[in-house]
Amino acid sequence: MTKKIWDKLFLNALSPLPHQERKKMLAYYDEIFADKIEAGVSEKDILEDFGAPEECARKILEEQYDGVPEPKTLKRFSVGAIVGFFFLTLLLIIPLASGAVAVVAAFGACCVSGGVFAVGGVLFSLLSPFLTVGMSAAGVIAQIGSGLLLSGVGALLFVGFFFLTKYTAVGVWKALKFIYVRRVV
Amino acid sequence: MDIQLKKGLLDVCVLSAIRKEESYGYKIISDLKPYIKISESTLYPILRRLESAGALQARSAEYNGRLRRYFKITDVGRKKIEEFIETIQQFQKISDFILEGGSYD
Repeated sequence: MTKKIWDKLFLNALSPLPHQERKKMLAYYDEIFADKIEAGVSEKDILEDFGAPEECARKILEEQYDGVPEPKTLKRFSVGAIVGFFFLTLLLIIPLASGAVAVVAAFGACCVSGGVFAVGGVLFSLLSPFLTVGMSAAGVIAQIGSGLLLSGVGALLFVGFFFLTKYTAVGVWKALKFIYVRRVV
Repeated sequence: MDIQLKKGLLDVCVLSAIRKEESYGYKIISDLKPYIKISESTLYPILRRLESAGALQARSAEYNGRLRRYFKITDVGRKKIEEFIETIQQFQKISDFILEGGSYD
């Protein structure tokens, strides 16, 4: 093994570290190497003294970093992955997301309708005595009752669809976040 | 030997090697060789650690057309050596007690 190869293997073993750190570590070994050459030691003996470059790197990392540090690198994607993801978005995610948004909108509309029924039913009941001029008492009571029934059903629809809309919207948002934000960041 | 104890011992050995005058990597290893064997890969983190702790200062200077890194002890480093000497003296007393069989007659 030559010093050049030793250096390459050493730097490779330190690859999780930033470039500057690796340069400093190699400079340290280069200096000792040069001193030993000046002292008359052969390249072969010096490299034997140093030991295996991977072992040197491991010892330094263990002493200094308690093991190999986690590399701080951004996730990198190949061109193929990006293109594939683009078409997946175009052909699958956008149609599915559009459908999901339409469902949320429909739930929202039902919620609003329920609210309208609830309010309308109450108004109908309150206005019944004025709207039923000439009607029998039973008819008036039935009308008031219908209004209340409509209001009750409307209230149930409002509450039910409110939560359906909310959880469906949150679910769609989380799904889109999972697909895009986790992958791209 | 306990790892922490060994680490402390090696730190003080390196500081002692540069106590009288500043020195450099190869010389530090050579000076310590008769007493304790330190490999190049062991010395590097020791120097880094001592520098971070302010126990030594490092500077680069040209030597025979190349750069050499010199290490000089600081007051913090000298204090570390003194504290270690005190510790050794305490250990000596305890060691004598143990070797004497646990009690003085």
